[in-house]
Amino acid sequence: MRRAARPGDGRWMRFLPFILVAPGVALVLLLFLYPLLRLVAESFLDPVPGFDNYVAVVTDPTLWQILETTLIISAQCTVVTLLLAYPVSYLLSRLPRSRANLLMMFVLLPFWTSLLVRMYAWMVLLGRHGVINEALIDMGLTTRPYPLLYNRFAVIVGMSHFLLPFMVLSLYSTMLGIDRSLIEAASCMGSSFRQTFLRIYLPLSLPGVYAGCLLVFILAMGFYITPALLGSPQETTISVYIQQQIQLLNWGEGTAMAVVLVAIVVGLFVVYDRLLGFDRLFRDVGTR
Amino acid sequence: MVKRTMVKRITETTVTAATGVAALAAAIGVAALIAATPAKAQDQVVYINSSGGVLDDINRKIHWDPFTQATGIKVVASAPVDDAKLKAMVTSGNVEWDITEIDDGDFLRAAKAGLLAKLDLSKLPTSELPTDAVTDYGVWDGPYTTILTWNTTVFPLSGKHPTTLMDLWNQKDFPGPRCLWKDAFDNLELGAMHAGVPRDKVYPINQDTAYKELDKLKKDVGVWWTTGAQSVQAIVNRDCVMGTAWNGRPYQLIVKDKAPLGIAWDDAILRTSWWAIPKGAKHFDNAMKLLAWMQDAHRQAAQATLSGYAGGNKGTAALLPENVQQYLATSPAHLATTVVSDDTWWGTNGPAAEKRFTGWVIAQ
Repeated sequence: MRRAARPGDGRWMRFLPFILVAPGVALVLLLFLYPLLRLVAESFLDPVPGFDNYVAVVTDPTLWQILETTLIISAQCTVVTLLLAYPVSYLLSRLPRSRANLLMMFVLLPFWTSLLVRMYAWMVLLGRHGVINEALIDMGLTTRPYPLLYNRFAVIVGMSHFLLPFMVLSLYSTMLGIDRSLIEAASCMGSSFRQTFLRIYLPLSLPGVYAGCLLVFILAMGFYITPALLGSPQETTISVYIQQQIQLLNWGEGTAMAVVLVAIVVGLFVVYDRLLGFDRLFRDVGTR
Repeated sequence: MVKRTMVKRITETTVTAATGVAALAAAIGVAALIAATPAKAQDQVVYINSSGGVLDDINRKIHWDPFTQATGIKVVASAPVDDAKLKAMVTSGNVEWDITEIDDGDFLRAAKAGLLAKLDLSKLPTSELPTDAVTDYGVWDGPYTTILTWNTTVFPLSGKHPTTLMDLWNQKDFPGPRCLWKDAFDNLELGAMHAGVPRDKVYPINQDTAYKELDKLKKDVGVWWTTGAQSVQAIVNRDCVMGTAWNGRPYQLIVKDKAPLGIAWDDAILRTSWWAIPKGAKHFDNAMKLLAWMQDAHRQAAQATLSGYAGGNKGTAALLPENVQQYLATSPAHLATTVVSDDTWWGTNGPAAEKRFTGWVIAQ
């Protein structure tokens, strides 16, 4: 009782969150923001101070072609994962919790093996004389092996394999928050399944769709190993090109490219915010 | 009363701020402590960085473990070869490696950029090494050759099979997809040679000529490989029927797994990788000791038997049986039909050539 009466206590409690957050902020400042600023500085300073690196980067046609490829691949992966993840998430959100948790383990299964091992597994499956082609030939369905590996198809398969859980988790958390009684109400009022889905369920699940798409798209922009191993040179992505400059000790141009990439991603964020609003990503989530 | 509260609030704000600053300072302190752990001159250890994988295992068995037994100096290995990391280490003053492997074109650039320490040449058995094998900043790890390897179940050794790297263009006799390294290295030389430039006139490379020939080859390339393991794996899996590879790769598979691979040596390209000491290395003396140790002819012969790569020692070849020598980059028979890479050309033109290559290879 006496403690509660002391005037300072309440205020200490008010500051507690800041104190608790301080180590985290310090870590971010030290290990993320500082290196990022050093990277920006390098792009203006190496090898001589000025804008030379940016002039070189902006006038490099290869960079723009690679950037376009990267954006297209990211968009393709986003569409594929969305189409695959939506029905899965819908099913998960309708099942009883215990069974949903069991199925969720399968969704998360790809995280249990290393990315590199998964890529080599795809190479074994998709090769010219890989498991799939050999099976098709043995069954007499084709005489010549299909080109499944070292092309855009293989890259999308490999990347979607990795990105799918992110989309599922994002959709699932939103779908859990959708009030089931609204759907029941719609059916009671005589609405067909299709109408209920298009006019009630889909709009309510959109925040999860937006969040999932944004997350998957941005993650896909930074992919490195998968396009390099499963794709052809036409699937060269921006991170591969940046890495090449860094390895050639061409740090000025490499960092300038990295800054351009960050600027483009931030630009996409801004457009996204204008069109959809970031608050919609978090509204409705877990309101149940 | 009001005043007291004010004071109190200010104090609390200060305390909060101070806690934040203290946390930050502590974090910096820990980081600094990790970074600056002083290396004692007496440390009985040497850190060596190389391409890793099978070659690391072989080096450990042949060179490093016996070195530790003889000197008491522990050898800690890391991989892969990473020039960007080397630059980051040297410029930040936190040098983790005492020795690193480095490829020839990159070697000259790194030396010029001031990333490498001057070796103490008096510690090396220079009389046993070719003059090309030692410079102020490095000593040969060993020469290696880019050869043509093919799948012998497709083109049997008993029948008509590829004999030169120029057969990459020969779809008439050897139909099927090709594997090439996704790099300007080798491909520019191959293009120039296919255009009819004699082997000893390849440098300076006329890139326009080379690309004209590479344009003809491009549609037949099934795989542009990026790692050494991939180059042979793609041939064994028959994703390609033939392709370029570094000579030790097929050798190791042929010797160990009896893999169905053949090797063609004509018009091959010889390169060298180097051992160098990063500037500011913490165990320079130990590094020199290990570099000298690795130049021994007998140990290099044992290394060559396992890996297909010999070092620079002039006495090594005499110690090897014929069936190993025929797989070495430096065997006299192969050298007669091999182009020796011009480090100076690549050191100067490398970055621009790589950029042009990337632009070429990604185009449809």
